[in-house]
Amino acid sequence: MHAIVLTTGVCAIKALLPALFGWILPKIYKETSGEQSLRRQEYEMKRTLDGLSMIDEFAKYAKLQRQLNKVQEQLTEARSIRMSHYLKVKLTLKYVVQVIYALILLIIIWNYKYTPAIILPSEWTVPFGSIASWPTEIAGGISISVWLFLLESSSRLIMSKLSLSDYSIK
Amino acid sequence: MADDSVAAKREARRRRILQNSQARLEKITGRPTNGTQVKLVSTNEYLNGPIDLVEDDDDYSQPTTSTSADVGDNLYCSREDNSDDEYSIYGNNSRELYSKYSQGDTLETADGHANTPITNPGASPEETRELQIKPPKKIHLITYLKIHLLLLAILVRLFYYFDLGFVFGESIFVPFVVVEASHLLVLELSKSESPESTGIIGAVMLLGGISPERVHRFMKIFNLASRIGGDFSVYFVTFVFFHCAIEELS
Repeated sequence: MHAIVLTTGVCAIKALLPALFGWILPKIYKETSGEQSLRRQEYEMKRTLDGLSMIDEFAKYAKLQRQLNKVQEQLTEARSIRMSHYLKVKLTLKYVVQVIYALILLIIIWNYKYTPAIILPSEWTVPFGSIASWPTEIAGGISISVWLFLLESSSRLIMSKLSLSDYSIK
Repeated sequence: MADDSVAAKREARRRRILQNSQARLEKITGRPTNGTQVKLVSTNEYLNGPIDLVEDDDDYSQPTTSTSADVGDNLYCSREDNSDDEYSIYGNNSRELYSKYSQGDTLETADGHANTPITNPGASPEETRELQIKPPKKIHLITYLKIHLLLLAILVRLFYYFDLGFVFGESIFVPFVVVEASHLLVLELSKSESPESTGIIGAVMLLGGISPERVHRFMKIFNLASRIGGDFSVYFVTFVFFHCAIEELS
């Protein structure tokens, strides 16, 4: 029983981590106060520009337009720096989690190689009982490797249906 | 006289072109004409918001028919009729679709109240695409989220608990095989063609020189096996969890 609990816990954590990081990372990499003030400036400048007549006040319009372009460039640059940091962290987290998860699985499979995750009545697992119990060779037993495989498949399927399988900002 | 006839012909031709201008424009842009427009909506978008994938209807003379898409693969169909300037609304977070059909069809809501497929007896079999329109049903949501497998696993375990396992030969695989086979048969009979991705395997096979038809056939079998494997894993894991719960409680 504790094998099932252990494997289920590991798999559940791994399945829920993308959703957790997808919730945490946007809060860490949200818009900074500098970007917010730039955005506010941009909005004010656009509003002012809309109120100006390009023909009658061309010099003023052009000057304001140049200032607006500069603000927009600064905003774009700030956003791209923030997004590149976010992507780096996201990818690093994703691969680190996968490596750690793979190592944990290998340790579990190595330690519980001949211990079945669960033993069912042998008649229930007909006709695939021998495959499901490999390499434990206990009638009705489900080996750790088979159990982990089934658990991983089902968690991935369920998470994909619930759209929780991505680390992205939602 | 000759000039008059030429002018008359020219005028008639011009009138014909102007009359068909909308049809030709819609043909060019890929939208179906005759006031009908078929939209495929993915389940995710159906649940969370509308998308627009518009199906062409090349038969401009008759109302279209449509077959339902593979709802197990997240596609629903509905049709809107623009001939009376009425339009279908895809509910955003609500799950209501309204479709108005021409030629005496009924107003339907797409949460299962009216499931009458729209058929056209006069449609020719040479139409490039036929879709049978069915409003989405709750059953499709259940099969999409694999709820039917969860319930099946619980039911099978309860059968064992009450010593009724003989009904399916004491094997947990039998009920799954029956349900899965019937589900696949329903999908097959609904003439659904799910968009199958080739993925890396298909790409490698294509690059390796294997013919596209063989690759397509292989990928179809592979995707089917993946789907069955995924469904079985959900079913079996649920069964084991429920088994452990019952063992702990009893």
